[in-house]
Amino acid sequence: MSSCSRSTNVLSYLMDELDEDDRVLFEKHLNGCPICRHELMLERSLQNGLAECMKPDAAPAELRLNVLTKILTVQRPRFPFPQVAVTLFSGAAVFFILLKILSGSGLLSKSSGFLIDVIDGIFAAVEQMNSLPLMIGAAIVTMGIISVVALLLPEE
Amino acid sequence: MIKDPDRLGDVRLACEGDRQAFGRLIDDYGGLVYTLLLRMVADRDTAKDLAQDTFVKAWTRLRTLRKHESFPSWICSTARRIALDHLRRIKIRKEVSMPEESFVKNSNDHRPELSAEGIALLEQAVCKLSERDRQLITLAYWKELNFADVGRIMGIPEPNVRVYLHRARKRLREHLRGYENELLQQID
Ligand SMILES: [Zn+2]
Repeated sequence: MSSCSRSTNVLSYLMDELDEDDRVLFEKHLNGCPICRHELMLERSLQNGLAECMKPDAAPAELRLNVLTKILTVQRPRFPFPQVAVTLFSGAAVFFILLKILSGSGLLSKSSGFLIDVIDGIFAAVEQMNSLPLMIGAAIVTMGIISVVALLLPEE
Repeated sequence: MIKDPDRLGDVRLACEGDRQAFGRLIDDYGGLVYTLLLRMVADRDTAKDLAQDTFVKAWTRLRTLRKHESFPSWICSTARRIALDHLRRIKIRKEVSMPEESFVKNSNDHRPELSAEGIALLEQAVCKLSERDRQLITLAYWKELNFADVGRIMGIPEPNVRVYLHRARKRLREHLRGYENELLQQID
């Protein structure tokens, strides 16, 4: 069969991608061109065929029962991102300790003096808490705050 | 996008921890999830297992779903991620090809234009497409999803969905080249 250079427009026409002017022009062309009409008929039948055979399968019969049984034993996490909280917490700890070491060794320039004062302040406060339970308590409170922040973060 | 208020109500109830409502969601969307997984992993038993994993994971994370009406695309994204993880784990992502058996629905009822032979040709052509094209074509023809949903699931911007679908359709035609007359004979 001979071909028509405008038959490449058929799919765009079918998928509603041509703008108004092109659509009108192409419809005029269709009226006079059996090749494009043939192509359109073929693409349209493919479209209907795809819509038909892409229909979803039925769910496996046992899916619902299996899932419902399984989620009886699966606890929903009280707070959805414990990993995030732990990561943030350990990250912050490493950051502070690194800063403390750097400020102690005098590697940081004078311009970050304020930050160092803040860090020193925090470490001084921690040193005041000379009982272990008190320090663990402070850590838990910090974790709690981070957890609440993480809870408010959008997913992904 | 969910428009049916009853279904929307089920999503809300499931978010609040109602297992019966979640069961109804499994009935409503289990087919979509299973079919998507089947097209991706090309193995019925694996797809069944992964469908289970998808809904169990969805249950634990349902509270993070912000817009209840986008549950269909959310559950399909979850399924797709689980399938990709699985394929990565078994490290045959590139080699996974559709076997001879057709995974496209086989029932013969209600085929408006193509006959069984035409559909069989079409199914073979779909199986020859890349995994990505297959996913796209699968999702794009589900009435439960619009192009924005498909974009969200596949991780591509909505306008590109149309472009990629157009290209996938063209590749599909390439695979059908030479069979046009057989397809058309079925219509007449
Ligand atoms: Zn023409």
